[in-house]
Amino acid sequence: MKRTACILGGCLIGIWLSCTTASAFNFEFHGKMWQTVGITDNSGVLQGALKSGGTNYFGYSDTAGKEYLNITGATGEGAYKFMDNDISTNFGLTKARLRFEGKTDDDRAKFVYGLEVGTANWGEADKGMGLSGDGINQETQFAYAEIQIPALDKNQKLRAGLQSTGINEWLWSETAAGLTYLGKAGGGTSWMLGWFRGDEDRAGNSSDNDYFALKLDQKLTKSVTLGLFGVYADVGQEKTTALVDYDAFTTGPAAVYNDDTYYVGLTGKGKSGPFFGNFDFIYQGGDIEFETRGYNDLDHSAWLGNLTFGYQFSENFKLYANALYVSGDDDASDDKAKNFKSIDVDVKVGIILTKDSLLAECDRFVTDSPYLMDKGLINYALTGEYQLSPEHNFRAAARYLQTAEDLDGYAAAADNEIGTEFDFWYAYTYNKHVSLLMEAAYLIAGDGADQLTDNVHDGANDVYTMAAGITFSF
Amino acid sequence: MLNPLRKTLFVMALWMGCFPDPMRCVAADLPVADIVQSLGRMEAAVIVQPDGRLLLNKGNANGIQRGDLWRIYGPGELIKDPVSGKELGRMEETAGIARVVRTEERFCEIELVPGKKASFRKGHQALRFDGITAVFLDGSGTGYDLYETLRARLPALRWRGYEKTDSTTPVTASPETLLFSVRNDRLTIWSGGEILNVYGGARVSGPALAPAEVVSPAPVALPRTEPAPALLSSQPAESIKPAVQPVPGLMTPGMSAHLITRKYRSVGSLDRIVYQLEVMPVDESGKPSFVYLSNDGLFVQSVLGQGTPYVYRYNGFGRVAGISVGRNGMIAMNVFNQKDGEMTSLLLRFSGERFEVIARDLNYILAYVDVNDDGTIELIGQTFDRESFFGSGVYELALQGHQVNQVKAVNVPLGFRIYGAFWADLEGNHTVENGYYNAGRRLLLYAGGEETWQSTDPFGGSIQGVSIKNIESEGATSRNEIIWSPAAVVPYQKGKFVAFAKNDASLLNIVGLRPRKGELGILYKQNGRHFSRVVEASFEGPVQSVFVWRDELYCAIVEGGLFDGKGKTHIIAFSLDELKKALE
Repeated sequence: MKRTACILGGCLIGIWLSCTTASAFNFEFHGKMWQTVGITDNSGVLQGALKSGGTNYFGYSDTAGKEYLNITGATGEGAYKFMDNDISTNFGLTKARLRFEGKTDDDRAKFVYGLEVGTANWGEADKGMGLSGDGINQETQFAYAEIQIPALDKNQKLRAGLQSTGINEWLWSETAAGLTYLGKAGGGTSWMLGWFRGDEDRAGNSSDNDYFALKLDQKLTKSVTLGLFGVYADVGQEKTTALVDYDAFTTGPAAVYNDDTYYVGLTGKGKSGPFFGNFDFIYQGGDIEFETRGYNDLDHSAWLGNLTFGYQFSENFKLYANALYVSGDDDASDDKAKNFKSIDVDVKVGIILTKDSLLAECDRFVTDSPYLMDKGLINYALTGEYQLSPEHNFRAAARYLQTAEDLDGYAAAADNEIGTEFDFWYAYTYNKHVSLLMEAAYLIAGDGADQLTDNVHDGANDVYTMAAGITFSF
Repeated sequence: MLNPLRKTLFVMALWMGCFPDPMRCVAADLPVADIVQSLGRMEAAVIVQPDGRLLLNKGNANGIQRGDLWRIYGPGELIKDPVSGKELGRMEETAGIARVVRTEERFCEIELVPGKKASFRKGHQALRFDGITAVFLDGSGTGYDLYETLRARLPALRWRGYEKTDSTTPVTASPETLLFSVRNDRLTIWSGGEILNVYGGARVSGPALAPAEVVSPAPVALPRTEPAPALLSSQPAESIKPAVQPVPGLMTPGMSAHLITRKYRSVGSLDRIVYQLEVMPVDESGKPSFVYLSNDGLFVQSVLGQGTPYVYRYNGFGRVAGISVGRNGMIAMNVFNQKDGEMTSLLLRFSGERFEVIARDLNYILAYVDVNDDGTIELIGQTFDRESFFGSGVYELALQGHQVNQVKAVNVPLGFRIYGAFWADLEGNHTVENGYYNAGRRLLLYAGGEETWQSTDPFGGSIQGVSIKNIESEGATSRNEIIWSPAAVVPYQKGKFVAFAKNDASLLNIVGLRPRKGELGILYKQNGRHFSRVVEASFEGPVQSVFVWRDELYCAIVEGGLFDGKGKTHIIAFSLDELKKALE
């Protein structure tokens, strides 16, 4: 206790000195806190069952012709039965982040350490939100150092440690530990070259879980930017957690496999007068080789296409349409894995399923990836946004959601229609530190959603969520 | 026994009765703006008639009233250098105090206040209500707020203080005194033995600034001791040090001898927190208007606190991230759209009656700056970068129709930030130095690609900032990028000096919060050495704007609750001549 107090005191003195003396080193503290309350008629959509970073879906078969579905990393049955839970609930959520930066005046070197109190339900005793609090609930979000490369100009840096990948919002945007080289040049060129280490669970630090990434962005005109990226992933010694007989949802034997996969992507963003838009196209190739005998190897052949096109009617009103196609796998018995797999993302395709919400910022969502299991996703959305005043922002969207391939479990007829979703967001900016957010969403469940519940008689029910919260940042 | 409800009401009534009722405050009911304007300073010249009568070249048309008191200044004694015998100038002095006895359209007649010395000559200068003794008698007990307000807004008066009186005591006003008498929510103003006006009941909102104070020849050119405006924590007038503070020994960099100046005035106040304030001629007549940015919008107003200001409210996507005032009514408004990760800045033109959006969706951080230090203001833009906010490219821009095009690249050092940047040939040797604030909140100077100077301490920045989300993850924390106030580049000797807001660097800066107090910094160069000094005036709030208009240096100081955006802005003007003398 005494030691902690001494360390804390020393830090404060250091900070004070840096603020008041001729120091060329600066410290910054920043933080953000969410306090959210909400209600839904289906608590299953809050469970975060399909997290991209921890899952790897693919359908495969053994030499006897039996079909399996790998759901490595998925959160139990929630991965395929999230529409099953018709339990209404109201809830309160707390989340907080702190970020500490120490950097030289000239920005040539800095270190960043970020802490997070991951979202805890009010009353969740395990996370210290029960009676009397006292939870041990801090996590490390960032821990990296960055230096300007000696002999090169200030716009070329090395970054090492747990950092944001930022490659593409549909492929990889979350944090990972690695070493990156970031650069910018005149004429609007920027690039990143990096090596990241994926989930590594062996003390020996094998070389079987590596990602190599390259990203290049070029500004073509004042308002048009084109980007290119590539990622090669060498993920080895993974084990399947297979569902045998997809229709029956029974667990099959584990098998060991190596997944060598690569991604090539092209992105664009532009604006011309009142028109604006962006696109992403990503192709996934490579193969999955089983070390365990008796299984057929697979070739990756998947793709994702995203197109947004909009028109700004006035300085405070715009309307835009989005079409998203993420390929899925329709046949576990062939030698293709045609489903697209993100590495680790937080995509925003509506409130109920994905992360375009206050709830999702508080880690309450179905999936953070642009697909459901190995079936892909199709989204057609029309969104309107209106800025009533600097303080009041409204946004509303209607979207039609499908999986790219049919969901075909249980006795119900196979179908790919998840449903039609209506989303509404309102943000009140009290000042630059404090905002009040409100949101509501309603999903009219389609026939395909019946496959995401074991309620074979009545099928899936419609789902609504409503939430309101305050964010405080400094 | 009282029931609980009655008991509660009784206690509340008793409690409320312990405090003055703000609704009964006299100041709230009176047209303070009109009062301040009618008692504002004014300059006139003395005309001596052949029959000995004295006139001033100002009359009814200028708002002159019978009873107005004037202080007349004569050329005073000739000062000679005891060594060389050269004439150094004249020590101007008061020739007498006079009151207006008759007014005409364009002139008025004055007479000497009995008992005061008089040696009037044609051409002597006269200043209305300058250094005139003011007395405030409160017979109602509710006038203290009004007293404070008037004292703050009429700093040229020699205030004798606030006195409570019996409301039945007859008021007697001496002819050389300005007397404010409050009785029964009615204010009577006596001057020169006359009642100038009686106020009561009328409600007028908004602060005021005498319009002539901005556009008239600077009254601060006359040597006199002024009472300190309310915001200035200065020494009493009697103990003010000489105008030019001698610095012992050789002037060396690192000495922070304060610059002493007695010549300043309170220009006016605004009932809102202003992030940026400048003066801009908006038409060919050269008549200036104040341009200021607050949470409520961008305002243009010819006279602060009077009339309805013209306002432009940006209600589009993104947040306003500072303005920059050009010429011919041009105003650059920076807009940062966090959600889309871009700047969507605007170019506006104020035509005298309305705003027109000339160009929009400009993906630059814009500023009007004299990049070449040749007296011509150019529009420059720094490119935007999603991660660091400030991109690496800076360009001189040209407006062609509704399009803004790059003319040429501006050579700036790495790490350059456009907010608060300036270019100045400080020593007049054709070497233009570029000053900017770096990420560590230090002021740096560069010339020819080499750093020539850097401030030792970090500065506190500005209360205006743009909140930028770290793009590293969803739900990321934000950081505050300071929108530094533009500096004022002032001709000085053969070169220039730079006046800038030097706000305090406090512990709160590490969490991106505002500075609490500020000073007026002066950066200049002599014999190849840079000097950074501050004007000896401790402001009760951060300095938000510094700009020059004619021969005065203006500062805008803010106070109040910056979290909820409620507060005031006070404008103080310093005599440039006096500052230059202090520098010498």
